[in-house]
Amino acid sequence: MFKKLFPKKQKDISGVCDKSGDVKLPANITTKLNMLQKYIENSSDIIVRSFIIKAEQDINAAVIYMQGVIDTQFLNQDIIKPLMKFNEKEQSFNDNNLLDYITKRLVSIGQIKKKASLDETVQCIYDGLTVLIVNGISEVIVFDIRGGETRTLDEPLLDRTICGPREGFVESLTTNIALIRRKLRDTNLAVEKLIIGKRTRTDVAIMYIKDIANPEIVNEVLNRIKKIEMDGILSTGYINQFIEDNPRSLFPLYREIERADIAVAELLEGRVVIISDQSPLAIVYPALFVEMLQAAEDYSTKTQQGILMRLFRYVAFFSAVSLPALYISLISFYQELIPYELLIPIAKNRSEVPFPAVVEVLILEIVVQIIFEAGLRMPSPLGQTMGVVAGIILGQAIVSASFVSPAIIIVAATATISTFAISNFCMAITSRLLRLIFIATAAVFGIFGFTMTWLFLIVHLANQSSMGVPYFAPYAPFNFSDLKDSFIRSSIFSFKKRPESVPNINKRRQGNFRRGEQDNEN
Amino acid sequence: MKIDTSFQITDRQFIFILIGGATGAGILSLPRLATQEALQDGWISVLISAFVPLISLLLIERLCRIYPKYSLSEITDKLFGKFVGRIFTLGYIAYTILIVSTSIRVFVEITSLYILQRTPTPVILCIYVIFIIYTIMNGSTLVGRFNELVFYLLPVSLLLILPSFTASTYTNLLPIGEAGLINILKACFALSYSYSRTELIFVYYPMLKQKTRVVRDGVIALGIITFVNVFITIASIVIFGTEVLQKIIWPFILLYKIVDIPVIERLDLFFLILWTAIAARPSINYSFVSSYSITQFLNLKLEKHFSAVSITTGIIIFVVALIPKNVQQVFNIITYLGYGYFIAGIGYPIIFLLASLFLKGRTTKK
Repeated sequence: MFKKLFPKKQKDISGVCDKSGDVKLPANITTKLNMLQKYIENSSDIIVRSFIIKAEQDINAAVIYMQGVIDTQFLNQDIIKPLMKFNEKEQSFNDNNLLDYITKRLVSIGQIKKKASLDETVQCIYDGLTVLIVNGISEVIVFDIRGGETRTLDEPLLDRTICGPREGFVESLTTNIALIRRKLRDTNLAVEKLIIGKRTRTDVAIMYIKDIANPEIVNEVLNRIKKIEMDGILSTGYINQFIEDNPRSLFPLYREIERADIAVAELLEGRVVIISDQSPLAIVYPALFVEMLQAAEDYSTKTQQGILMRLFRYVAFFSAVSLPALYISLISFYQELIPYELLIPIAKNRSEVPFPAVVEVLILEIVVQIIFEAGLRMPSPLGQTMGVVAGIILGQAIVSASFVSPAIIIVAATATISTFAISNFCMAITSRLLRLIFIATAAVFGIFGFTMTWLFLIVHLANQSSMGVPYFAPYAPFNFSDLKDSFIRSSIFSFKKRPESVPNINKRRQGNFRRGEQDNEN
Repeated sequence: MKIDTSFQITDRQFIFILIGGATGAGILSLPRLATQEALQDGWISVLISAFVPLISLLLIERLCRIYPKYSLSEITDKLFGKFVGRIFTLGYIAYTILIVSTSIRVFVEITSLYILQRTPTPVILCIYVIFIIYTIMNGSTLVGRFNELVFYLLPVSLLLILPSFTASTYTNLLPIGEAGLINILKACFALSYSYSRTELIFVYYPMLKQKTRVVRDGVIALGIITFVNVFITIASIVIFGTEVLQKIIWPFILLYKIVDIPVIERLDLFFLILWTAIAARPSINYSFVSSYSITQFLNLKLEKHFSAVSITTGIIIFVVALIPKNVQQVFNIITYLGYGYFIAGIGYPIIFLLASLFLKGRTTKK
């Protein structure tokens, strides 16, 4: 039954208003209010404000709006005030042109629509719009003066940068779209809006550049989003889980971004950005593995510095995922791979610890993961206290109590710090999870288990796709020209073409100019 | 739509699949086999024997050009009818399964000798087979991508040999040609197993997106394989000398034991870690071919049954790989498989080409 109902709702969303079974509103205001009363009587925050439009004969009118959702200033100044002070001597009117007269001459609000049916009117009220009903006219006028309290623009929480713009997304969809529009003034930038969530009716915007993005990918994204049937979408993460290619994969097959400048960069590469209302995170499809280890910072600095940061982020990923596992397999299976001079102090320290290396690593890993989790939600003044307790007191005590040896503290701490060097937060969590898997296999099969797990990981990565685009490109399938922006980043002027790993319909992105070549000619 | 794309490979992947088929467990013992008869001229035998797969490549390409959309079992069905055709296919399947099983077994023996001494062989084998199943059941696209990725470990592992050249004496190679032509050719025959990878084209050809450059791709692949093989053989000869080489089962591994590099105390273990990935490729490429052929042999649908067939193939490989009692028996089987290559790589295409000519003549007469 839901399936039958749902497409109807979507028709409603896209603005097609012809519903055969709908009740038309009557002309009389009292009847109208009585009809509406049934729908709004349980919501005490919906206000019905009656007033009189001053005319030859006074006309009864009322506005219905939701408290707190609209901007009261606009309501008072631009809707109620001009209507109450209306002077009929200026122009004569009859019932037919009254409505036009109100919208064209009296009310100074940008977005005005007319609705005729009961269902639509009720929906408009609950969407936060303001409804004006006038006695004697069956149509109602709907104003969009939504406003109220929202968070102001702020630096994003996770994706911080030193040399680059610092504006982050906020919870308001219109603000977020405007942030992107301000940076990307292309006439081809398309914004398609959908309403997802049967009950929350969340606005979701899908943005792409028409003459760059591959239409197949755009359609795929739109189709998948349109198929979502859920009562409530509270953040973009909900949408992700419905539309990503392989929900069983450990890796994020999408990219979550917090900043408009990254969104613009993604749009310019032919990707699709999805923003949902009430969520400060936008998501980007299709995403690639290489993107998870990229940061906006890489592109703003000099090339050489960009390369250095990129390379170390790859090292960080490797160490975050596999350093404890490597330690276990070396200590418990292949001591001969460790240089002799180093092996002796490690063995000496380990002799005081009663546990095998795996248990040591697990003890520390559990502690670290819990600290990680606690630190995430801790109010910032308490963060320092936890740093002292977790880092200094616990670290010191755990060694002197012979729970673990000092070497493993170095390993676990390096792995944990490496986690924070991974620029994508979702990937950072994935690396924590992978670390546990690696520890388990290394504990059982040593270096063989370690290598086999890497092989499984690589095959798994090569098998994933995001909106049908191979996830592990440009490594597999290999693409030489895209390697310029993978584990290294070459100069911005060398990115003459858009990445081939993401299908697009406009390949070239810049000319041949660089380094003031014209100056050299002179 | 999705199924179509998961059984497609690019021509670059095709090159890497061919290379991946040849550079597996086989080349670990290659220098020993090459110098057995031909002594210090073993590298010449390695060079000459590269012409066998070249001929095979040209023959198979010629045949596949006639039937560009069909893989081996479909071609045999077309040429010889259901019954005889199936005997050919069955032979091919048995051959590929034996190749996978032996190469896995060699790999497992090496692993249990150098890395995991106390772990029982079936356990290592089991992990390995699971990995193979996981890779092949997602189609040839993934097989191609895996080959592409792992290929780059091969140059790295070859570069790691370079420090060992400090211990080499180039006079070990002299005098050139002492072994005599007959011995050099005899050695070529023994080496055929190391080259037997062109028969993979039977199955991978119809999956190629672009079929125009198969010969070029094949020659590139053979060139790289020959270079790697000659390099390893020469390195082993100049470092060990031909007499010592006969006493070493896997000379390639011992090459890494010669020089002590600070920090990495044991280079050979480090190499074996890389080798785990490199040696996985022949097993994966061949087991994909066998399970693909089995799917078509049983008239099953790729999109529906391929995963199930892959798992079954994996189990068969596991069982077959456990049959030999020791490495010596595996080596004996490998010698026979070398002869098997002459049937599958050269005999099959010649028979099929003749049959297709005959068939063509018959149809035109009608």
